[in-house]
Amino acid sequence: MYYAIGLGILLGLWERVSLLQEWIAGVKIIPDPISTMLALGPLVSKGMYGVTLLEHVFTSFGRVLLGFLYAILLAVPLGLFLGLNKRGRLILEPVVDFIRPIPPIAWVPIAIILFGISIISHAFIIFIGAFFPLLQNVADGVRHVKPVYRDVAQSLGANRSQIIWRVVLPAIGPNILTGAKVSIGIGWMCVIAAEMIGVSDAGVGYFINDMKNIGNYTFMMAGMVALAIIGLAILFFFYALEHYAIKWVEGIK
Amino acid sequence: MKHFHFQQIQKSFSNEIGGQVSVIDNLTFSTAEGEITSIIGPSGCGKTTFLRIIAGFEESYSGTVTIEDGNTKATALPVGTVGYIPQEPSLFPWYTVEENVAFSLRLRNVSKVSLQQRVEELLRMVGLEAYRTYYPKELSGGMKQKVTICRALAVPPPFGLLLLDEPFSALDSQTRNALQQDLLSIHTSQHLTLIFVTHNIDEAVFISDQVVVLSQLPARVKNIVTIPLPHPRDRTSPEFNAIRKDLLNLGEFMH
Repeated sequence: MYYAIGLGILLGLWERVSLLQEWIAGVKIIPDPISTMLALGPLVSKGMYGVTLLEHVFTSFGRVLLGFLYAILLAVPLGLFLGLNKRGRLILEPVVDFIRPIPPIAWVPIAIILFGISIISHAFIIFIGAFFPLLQNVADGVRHVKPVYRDVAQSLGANRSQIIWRVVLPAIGPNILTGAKVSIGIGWMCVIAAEMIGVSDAGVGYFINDMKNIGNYTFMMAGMVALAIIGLAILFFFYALEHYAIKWVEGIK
Repeated sequence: MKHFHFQQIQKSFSNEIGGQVSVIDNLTFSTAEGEITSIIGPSGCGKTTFLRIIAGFEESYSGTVTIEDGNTKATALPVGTVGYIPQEPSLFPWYTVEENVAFSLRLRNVSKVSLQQRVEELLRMVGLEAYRTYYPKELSGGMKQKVTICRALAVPPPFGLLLLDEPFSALDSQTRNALQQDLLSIHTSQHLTLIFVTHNIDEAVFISDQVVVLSQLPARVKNIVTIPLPHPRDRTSPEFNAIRKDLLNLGEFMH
């Protein structure tokens, strides 16, 4: 209910802005919400230059997913190692501190040199963006597992690897999910930015930029709305995942 | 009949400035199979450290832990051979009641059927068989402690020794009394020897055969009081109160 009111307010504001610009400046650059929504239909069914908006979405999404999967596969074991091994942490900390501040987009040239213009070069940039928040969350999570759980597991007869699999990993489930949520958001930012600065000839970022270049602002705006819808879908996916995977956490039903 | 002897246990920690702080000094007492021993003493007097030594968590200490069984003697109890219930809540929140209780059984690859049986048997013993699929966050404090006890006993500790570190301290007094009763019946039905740390004198008198009174830091044995009263004990009887009074006098430190 409140959700609908909030959305209504947003659409109303958007409508005002698009009216005001016409009234004050006499131009119509920002399309109104209704024509933007109406544009989504043909964009999904017919598309532009033979490529539908859905195909652009899938292209971008595939890139995000690939980069994100690699980030999970590497960050979780490395985060576990850093969380469990103090010396390893001390040695790797400066490495991480040095690489992390470099914005993922700054890796675009290297990505192109290494992998050309391909799904791999995109996935690489997303990987860079998604890896560090995941690593951070996993390593912090491991360090904050209450020692009493390890003690009890040990007194019940668990060895080191059993403690890792049956105590540490489930205990950091919420941290992995938090990291994943942040990472996938960053992944989207990276992919759209990379597509916009011309690493590719497809994807939602490419589409939005292309529509700007040819002056089709309604389609450009429709591309942005598509991004919002995907973002919402991802959010709901994570809610569902929380209900399912970490329903044991206090405050999650 | 087994006897457990704790002889001249000493333990010190190094502090930040490089000195040694003695926590336990020359702690000696014995207990026989099937007995319930309470350890009382002021807070921060090294009771927890002592239990951790018996549970096998502490490596650097001096003195001996011996189990005497007829003519055979064994020294020290490695981690995993003694039931241990720590002071903090320790149920794994990510496992259901059932999964928590089955933890040690799973580690030993016990068959599914006997695992189910054992879990059922233990949960029935504490009246929680209807809560198998609940998560710890859905249980009350008293229920959590019952499940914790079940988990510690799922694979019976080889020497029947169960250590409890102030297990009921976070509970209201009514729940606490009920759980003391439950613990006594579990003790009998599962043939256990209990070492029970508390700073509640009433609790110590209600459950134990002997009460070891410790001094301020570093902990040493101030006195050992045996309680000959038969079970069930009446908390309001004159005999009960006489022992309480003795213990209160011995432990003027209690608050």
